[in-house]
Amino acid sequence: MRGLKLPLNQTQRIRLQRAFEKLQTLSAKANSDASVTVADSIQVNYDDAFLKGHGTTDLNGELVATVCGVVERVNKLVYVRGLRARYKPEVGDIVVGRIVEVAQKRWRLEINFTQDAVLMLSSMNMPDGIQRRRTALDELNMRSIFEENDVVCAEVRNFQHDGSLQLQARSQKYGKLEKGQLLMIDPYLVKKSKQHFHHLEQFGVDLILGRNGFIWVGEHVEVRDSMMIDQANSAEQSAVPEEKSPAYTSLEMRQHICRIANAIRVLSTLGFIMDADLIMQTVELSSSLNINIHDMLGSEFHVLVAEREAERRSLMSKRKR
Amino acid sequence: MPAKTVVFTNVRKFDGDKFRWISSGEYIQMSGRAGRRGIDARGICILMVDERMEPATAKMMLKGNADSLNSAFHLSYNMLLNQLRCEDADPESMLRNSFYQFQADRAIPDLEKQIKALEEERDSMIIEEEDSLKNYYNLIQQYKSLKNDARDIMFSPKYCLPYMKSGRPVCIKCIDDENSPSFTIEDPVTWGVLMDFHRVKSVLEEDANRRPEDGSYTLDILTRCVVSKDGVGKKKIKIVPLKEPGEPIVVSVPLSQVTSLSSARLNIPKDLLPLEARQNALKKLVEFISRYANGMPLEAEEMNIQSKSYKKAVGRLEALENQFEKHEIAKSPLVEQKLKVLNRKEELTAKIKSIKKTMRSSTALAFKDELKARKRVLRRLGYITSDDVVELKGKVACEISSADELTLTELMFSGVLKDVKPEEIVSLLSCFVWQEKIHDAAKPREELELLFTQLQDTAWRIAKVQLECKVQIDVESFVSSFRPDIMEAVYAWAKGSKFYEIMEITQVFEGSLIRAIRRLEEVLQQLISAAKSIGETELESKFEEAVSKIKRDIVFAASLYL
Repeated sequence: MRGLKLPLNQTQRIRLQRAFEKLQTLSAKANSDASVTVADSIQVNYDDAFLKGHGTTDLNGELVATVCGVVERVNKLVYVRGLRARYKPEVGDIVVGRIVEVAQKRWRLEINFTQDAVLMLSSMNMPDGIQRRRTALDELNMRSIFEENDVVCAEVRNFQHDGSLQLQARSQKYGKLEKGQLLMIDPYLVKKSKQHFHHLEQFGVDLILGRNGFIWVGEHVEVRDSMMIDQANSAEQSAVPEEKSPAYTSLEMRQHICRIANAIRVLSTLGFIMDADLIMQTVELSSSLNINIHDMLGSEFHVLVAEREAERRSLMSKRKR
Repeated sequence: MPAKTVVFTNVRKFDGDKFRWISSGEYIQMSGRAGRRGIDARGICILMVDERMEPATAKMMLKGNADSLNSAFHLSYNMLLNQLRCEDADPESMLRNSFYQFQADRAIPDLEKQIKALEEERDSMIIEEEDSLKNYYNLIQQYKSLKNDARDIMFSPKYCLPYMKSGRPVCIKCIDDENSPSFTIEDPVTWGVLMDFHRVKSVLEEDANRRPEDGSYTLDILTRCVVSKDGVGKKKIKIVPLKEPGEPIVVSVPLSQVTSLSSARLNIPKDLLPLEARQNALKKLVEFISRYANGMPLEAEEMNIQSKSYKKAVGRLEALENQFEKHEIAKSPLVEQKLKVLNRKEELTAKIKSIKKTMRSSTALAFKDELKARKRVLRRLGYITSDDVVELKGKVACEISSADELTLTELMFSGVLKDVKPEEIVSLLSCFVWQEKIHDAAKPREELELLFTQLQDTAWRIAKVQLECKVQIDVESFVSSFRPDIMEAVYAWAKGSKFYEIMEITQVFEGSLIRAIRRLEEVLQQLISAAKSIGETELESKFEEAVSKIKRDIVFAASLYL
């Protein structure tokens, strides 16, 4: 049960155990002998040319794993997919991070990588939406855009030659995140998918599943495309004073946010790989059973979610067959 | 390099053939460099003219239009993968906003207008008894195509080569490019004397191992021609009937232009250089023709043709000939003109059809089908998942943009690059960057040849997958687009040879070779980052070694004047 720290009574313990056993039997068929720990040798055909990827090394003519994980093979490439590691960025990933430093023309962000990521002033859209060179004045005003401890969403741009990571925020949907909760879970629990920005319309909530395991749940902000602003009459904009959104968030909204956040917390404690669908299903389960938000983190709901997930996966594997 | 002033030292330039005036597009491009942005209010352009120049030429050059700008946009797998791995990038919206799509959309009203005009023209043509005329017209078309079929069988090299002897009179078609096709059953023909025949050397070198029957041939035929010179100084030779005035000349004629062979042979002197000899030869030919009006053609039986389809074609030809005689319209006057009008009408209909087709394809999103097919390929090869999420292989292919990304990625993942030396890697990669075709290039040595076959196998497999996924691709030409011609030279360069030494190995131009090696280095840099992304450090260092081996001396000098 992977060291779950939940106060369980006898029945709950048995139910949870059963659910996990079910999950295990379902996943066991995939590749059970592929998991390795550090210094385990990996079976390969040495006569044939093979490529050794991440997490492997050559030790006295034998291929051994350097991390705990699962051996993956793509054609002749052998690599080990590590478990529970820090986030390993890939170009194009969406990440959520927290500003730790405002430096020369750049911000440094904590994104659960081995080093801080860099967001250059030049690689983000200015708030006014105009494309121009960044002047010294812009540099002085950097704190008006992001301050320390702000939560920011951005995209991985590239790796520099020295291994440092550059981010970019070249669209209106990236940028500062406000009025919401930041959750930090293990990066491997976030499933890589086509979309990581989700607008949950029934709640009016934005859900951003950062690939680095930082998940943002917050009030929905209307994204305005910079192209649209260009087309719209600028005079019209200045004439109508911007409608100040209320400085507080309504109670209902806060409840929605908390419910979603707790659903994510539950899934994370149980170690289920999540995407927006699974999170929504968990949220619906909790509201359909009339479970209070603060009760969601109790043992009973954990057990329910685990049972539900085991059922779902067995259904899916049946459908595949 | 910004410049205040541009000076033309000459108004003509050599285009590989002759010195011609600079075109207006070139003039605009070159003079457009004058004036530095933000510094000069205006740029100065000096044109040095040291010869007479007609005002019209000058006007065309200085006031002419710029070269038209047409989108040459095409999809590539690399572009697609890079789009897919970003969250908000959507290949379809990119295509929709492309300049290509813009141009296609803009052309639509023009096409519509064209269709309207053509349709009006077509409807204004009124022909009496159109139905029966059309019937007759179709009959003629059918007859012609059948006759062609029969001729093709008879004159397939397999049957007719044994009869290609010098001195044999041959009947050839007179082809006029200016006139519209004739509508009689008989084509205008003339006679000539066969002198020699050659095989056409085709572009592909594999033809060398084909059997002699399969190649195409040209014949050298002595006949009467009219030679006219046009303004450019190029000679234009037109074959005319024997009775018309003209010079006797030996011309080369494709085998397809021959309609029949004579069974007789004339005695023609070998040396045809003097004009007299040629005139005499033609005289003999005229005499022969006047004696035997049909020139004693070789019959199919004589040529020993036993093809079933030939007999069938001949049988149908006879049947058709009967129909012609029965057809009432054939006897009506002015049938020739009427047929011409009808032909024009048919042409217009075909044209309208083709324009409508292009219109239909441009109203739909450009490349939509291709995009789908290409995504299918990527899924099939495991570059992206079914939810369009880029996988490891896709990540590698993302890095490679200067060479064929799929083939190179597959090659890398199949471990081919793993156990070969850096020089051999460089040599193998040269196939990716070299596009020119060299005839009779020396074959690379054995170990390089082996690598090249591996490359070809991979390319073959990828091309097959693409074809299965309905990407428009020619497997043969895709595989043969990887040229082994400079493998040996690049291998020697990586081994440390001097540049003049490798120039002796191949007959390619210095500039092309330098360009190829520079591109090779670019590909290697991309491969380094690709190897980095999969964490294969050994391969990475091997590529780095390869880069250091080729990046030296004159090939990578920034300028020849330094």
